[in-house]
Amino acid sequence: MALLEIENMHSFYGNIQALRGISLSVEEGEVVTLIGSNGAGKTTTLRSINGVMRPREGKVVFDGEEIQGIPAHRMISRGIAQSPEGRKIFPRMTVLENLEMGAFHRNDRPGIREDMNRVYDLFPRLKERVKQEAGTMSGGEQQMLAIGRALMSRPKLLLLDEPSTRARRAHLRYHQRDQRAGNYHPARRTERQRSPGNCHPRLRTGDRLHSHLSLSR
Amino acid sequence: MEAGEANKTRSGVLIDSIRTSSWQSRIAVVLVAVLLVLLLKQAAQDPGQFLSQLFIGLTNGAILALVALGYTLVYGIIELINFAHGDNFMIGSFVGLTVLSGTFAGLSLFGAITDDSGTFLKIIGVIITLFVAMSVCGLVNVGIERVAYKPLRNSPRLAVLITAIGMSFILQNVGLIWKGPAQVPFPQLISDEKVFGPGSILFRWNDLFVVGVTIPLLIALSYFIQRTKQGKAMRAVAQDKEAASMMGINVNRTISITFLLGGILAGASGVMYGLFNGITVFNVGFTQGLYAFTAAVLGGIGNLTGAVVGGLLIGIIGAMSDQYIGTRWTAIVIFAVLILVLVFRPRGLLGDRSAVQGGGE
Repeated sequence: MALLEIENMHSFYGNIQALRGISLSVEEGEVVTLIGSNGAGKTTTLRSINGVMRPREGKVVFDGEEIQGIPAHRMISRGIAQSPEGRKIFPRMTVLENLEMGAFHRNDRPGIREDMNRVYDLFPRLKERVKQEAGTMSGGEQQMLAIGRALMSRPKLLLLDEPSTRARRAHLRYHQRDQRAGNYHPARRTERQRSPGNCHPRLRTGDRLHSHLSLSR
Repeated sequence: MEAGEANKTRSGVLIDSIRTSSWQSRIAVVLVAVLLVLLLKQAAQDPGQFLSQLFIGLTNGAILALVALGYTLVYGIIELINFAHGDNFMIGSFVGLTVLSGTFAGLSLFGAITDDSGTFLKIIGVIITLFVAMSVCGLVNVGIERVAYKPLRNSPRLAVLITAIGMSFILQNVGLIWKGPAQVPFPQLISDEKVFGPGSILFRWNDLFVVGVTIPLLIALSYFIQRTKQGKAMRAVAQDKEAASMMGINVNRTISITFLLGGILAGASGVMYGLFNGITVFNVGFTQGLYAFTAAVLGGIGNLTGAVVGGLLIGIIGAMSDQYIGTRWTAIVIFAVLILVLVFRPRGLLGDRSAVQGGGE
């Protein structure tokens, strides 16, 4: 049984259908990259997995349990963390507070400490700026923070939406070598950045060419 | 030498900022300067009277600041001007009155606490009254949010705003049925003898009482928001609801807690208003609510420090206007401040930097 199994998922923004029957599976330890043009539905797919959107049809099975329709704030304790599109860090909170927010549902202080140090190891830049307000950092630094914040929950499944936006490639590479976090499930846009994933389902706007995945607006 | 140079550049910066300032802000600065000069002239003529009036202003301001915080907390988190908040303040003063009278719905639960009660009983009575009013107002505020605002979470903002005005009318009419249309007297539990000060300077026990309740509340609030997990969650929700929910924060619960906090402050404020002024009335929430709203806007809505600064300033402006311009002019003066702020500096004195919210955007 795969860690994440999506069957025939349909999602809507109001009356506008964004996803038409997505099926996808992610094994434990696997890196899956979603690629596709603007508006293909990469972000919508991730939003439908992590509960920000409720898919109108279809099943999302995570760790053996159906999770579609569970509100977003319960997902993180099940082991799904996301670094969202556009980073969405908390601009008026310090770097430290942002990371603490990533571990909001946890109460094991030593474990949180440990994970925080691990994030600092991954992104030494964040350690330098612990007390700085997150909104005053550069885009790339904010991206590091968004990824670090997602890692703070010690997730089983990590959803990275546009993780390379404004981030330096060097940092991403470094990050990709660290496999301890479990699974990465990044949505990538450009050809150049396709390399990290083991498998590249391709989302296309308005057609069903791919049997594995098809999306349309 | 270096210091001199730094000074030079600093004054250079000042000159530059004057040169680039808009006509609007120049007019505003001149206006404020003229008013301050006039005020100082009065102060010089009779310092005792001026200082006494300043203390009254600070006390009134502290009461307003607590209400203003409620407006600003709620605005910070869901960008709603909760017009029912002032009326919640009125409910607070009514609950306080009810507890002090010891009678509820025709049932006499215990003897009323009056002017003649012993000091110990008075102190205990006031503490219990504050506590009850704070709890009731907190819960009423949470209830209002659940019933009236939560179902409209995804509707246009105007719909929620109108609902808030509707809620305000409902509460006002509850007050009208509860205590009738006339002003109701509060027992005078706290002496208005002066505490200290030479000659004609008045700093009374009830000024001290208000300040003594307000400051711990403000400290507790700031501790809660800055240090506790739930407080941090509140700031996170104010800045980005979707990201907050991805972090496992229950957004709806956090909004409820924000309303609870606002209500608690309004409850304390309502009781203090009653005890300080000796009266309350069913529509006191309307006038005091608008003053507090003005205070929140003056300080920069969404900004907690701003609400306190704005509250104190409005209190002082009101007291000065009572003394030097005339009581009848006070409302006009205060709303003139609101209009001037909206024209000259819509984001308020400290509004460019908000403690709860992201601000700026």
